[in-house]
Amino acid sequence: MLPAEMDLVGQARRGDEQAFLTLYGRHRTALFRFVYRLAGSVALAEDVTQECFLALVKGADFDGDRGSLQGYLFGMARNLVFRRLRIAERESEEPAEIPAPLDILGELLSSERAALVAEAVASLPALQREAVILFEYEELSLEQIATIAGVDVGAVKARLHRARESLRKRLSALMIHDTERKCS
Amino acid sequence: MTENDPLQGLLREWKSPEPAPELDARMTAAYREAVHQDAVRRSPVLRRFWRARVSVPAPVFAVGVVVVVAVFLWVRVASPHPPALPATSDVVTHLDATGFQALPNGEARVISVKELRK
Repeated sequence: MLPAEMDLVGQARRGDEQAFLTLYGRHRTALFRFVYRLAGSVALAEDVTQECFLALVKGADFDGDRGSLQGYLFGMARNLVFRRLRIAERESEEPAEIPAPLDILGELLSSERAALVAEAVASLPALQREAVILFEYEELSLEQIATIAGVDVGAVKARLHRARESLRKRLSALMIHDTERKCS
Repeated sequence: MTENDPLQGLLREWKSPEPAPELDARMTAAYREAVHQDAVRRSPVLRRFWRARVSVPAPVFAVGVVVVVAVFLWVRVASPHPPALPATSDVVTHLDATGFQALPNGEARVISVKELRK
């Protein structure tokens, strides 16, 4: 974490509203996006975002020397989301059934491509979904994801691999459609 | 996981909504509340006592006011006259002025109960 950011955390805890708003402005959007994609709910994303920043101000167990503030906030958020969704990690680690490919032609008529992608990501087991979101959307490194998830890098790689395989199968028709469109 | 991966491009088509401006206002209010609570928690007990507030629902407050007024009125109606002085063996009070004679020189004289009974 940047020294300036550590100072801001301290000032915010002492009641400096401007320091708090600076921190909030820096991390708000990314945290909200992460929670929204993980939970699939705007209301839950807002609640968890607020809860994370309040916990930071109230002096939750946070050590700036152990990682970035963003990683800390993401780690807290994922724990809150998993708790709220009552998803047990053990269950999430169990191999999920490979979903059947969507009826893309039919779906394309009624849904947007983005909605199909969102649905495909949402269908992943929670821990795989978390890995995909942090890697693909938040563009964090494997090491950063491992810190947030509290596992080693190997576990993150395995989750990402399984997640991408599932997504490829689920979105295969859409990807073929894209390829054909490019060729023609 | 390469840049040319079609899956990666496809995934990026899913955009997240931006946080609503209402969240900012909510967050600021929650921060102020948290800071205020923290300040109160750290203040001395006596100061906390003087700053303490009690919230009472309006109907309960109204009933309380009515009860206080009713008790006050009942006390006043139940005792219209001042209470009589208790009779003691050493003091004789004559409210009757029959046979009163003023002393010639206007001097007051204190006599004992025994002398009076004689």
